[in-house]
Amino acid sequence: MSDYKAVVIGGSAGSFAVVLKMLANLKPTFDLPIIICMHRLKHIRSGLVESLNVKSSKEVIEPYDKQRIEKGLIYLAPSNYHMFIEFDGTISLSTEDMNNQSRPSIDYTLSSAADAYRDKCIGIILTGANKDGAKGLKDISDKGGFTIVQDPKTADVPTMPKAALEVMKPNLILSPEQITDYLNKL
Amino acid sequence: MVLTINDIRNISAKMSEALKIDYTNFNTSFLRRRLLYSFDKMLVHKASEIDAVLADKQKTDALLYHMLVAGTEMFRDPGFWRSLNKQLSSRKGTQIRIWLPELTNCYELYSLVIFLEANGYDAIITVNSSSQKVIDEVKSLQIPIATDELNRSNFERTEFNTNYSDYVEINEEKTQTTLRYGMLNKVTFKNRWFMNELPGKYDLIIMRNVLLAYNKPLHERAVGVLVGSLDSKGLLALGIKELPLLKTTMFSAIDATESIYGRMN
Repeated sequence: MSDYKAVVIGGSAGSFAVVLKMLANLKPTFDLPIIICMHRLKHIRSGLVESLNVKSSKEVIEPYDKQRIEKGLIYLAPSNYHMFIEFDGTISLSTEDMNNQSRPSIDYTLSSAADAYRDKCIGIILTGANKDGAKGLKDISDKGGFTIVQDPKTADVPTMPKAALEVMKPNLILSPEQITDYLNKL
Repeated sequence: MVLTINDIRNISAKMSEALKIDYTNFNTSFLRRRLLYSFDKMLVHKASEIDAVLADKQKTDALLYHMLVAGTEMFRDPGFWRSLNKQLSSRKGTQIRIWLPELTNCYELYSLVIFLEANGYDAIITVNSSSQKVIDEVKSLQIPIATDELNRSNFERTEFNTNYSDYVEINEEKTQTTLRYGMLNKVTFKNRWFMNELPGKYDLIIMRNVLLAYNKPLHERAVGVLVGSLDSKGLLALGIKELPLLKTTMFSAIDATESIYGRMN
């Protein structure tokens, strides 16, 4: 496995199916932590993580505040909380104001990952209906991290990948299948 | 504006000294975000201006107000309120002593007093807030209209079998919602950081999503203070994604999903 420390993924409308497929097709030896921030309905707390676990080759959890990030686990931002990556390798949560009309905010998760992991981070933006995540992915790129944007032509809703492409130049623009292949070759 | 780690250390040390709140043990990334947010609201442009802020009572009050993360909505996590109703049901007919150790805006207290009336509980409530401005706002009984729809739908999910409109009035123009007059009659307010309080004896302490701002040592100390203020078989409610962390046999989970813990002795 590479010397990357984590994969951080952001997505909104249409991204659940993409993430589900990606996690189902990750090879069993893939052991980087994967940190996922998806926009979701705030009043529905259960169901999403359970659905991902049905197909995922790795365990998916909704972390508690101050929980340590470990290899081989997949972390999904809890409903109605912002999720941040801390320098000490833990996750912190917050109920601060919405950002881009969103809580969790993808920008917050990705930007904090950029600060914590710098060039040891892979950031991915998937399909979605607003611009949240574009700034965060740019922050990862600016800190030397590796960035991937889902090809807008393959996105259910291309607004989010297009917004990212307007503010930064990613290392790769790939279809969901190609993103999974890329991760499996790390 | 940029705040370096040294700026944050200096500012938090000065705030701790002046305000008697241990900001030095707040989560560093939270402090950075919240100081930037507060300074933006207060039109503070340089880290060095903190001395002037702390020397001015009005500016200090504003800083204390902005440093608190306001709650998001009324009846956040309706499942919590349903579970709390189950846990307290055996206490109907007795007066329940309740403490809200750090009030950040109106939502949690207003939800609580509606919960108590809707389900027929008798209670006296003590509320602490490090911000006098928060207390003044809460006493005004006004509820931000922006969250009205969400508050109503959350209330319906609590399944209390009463109507939200029994407790909250909306004006004709539908621009202002207000908690019914008299709903705070059994509430005592204290403008003091809860960690500076002497231990009390409460049957229920609700402190949801406040500990998120603290680092682990302060979180553990805070939970120690909370548990130490619970009477025998008292209940402690944290946010659903907060764990108590403190290693002790003094309390255990009553409902882990809703983060309700009970004192064991």
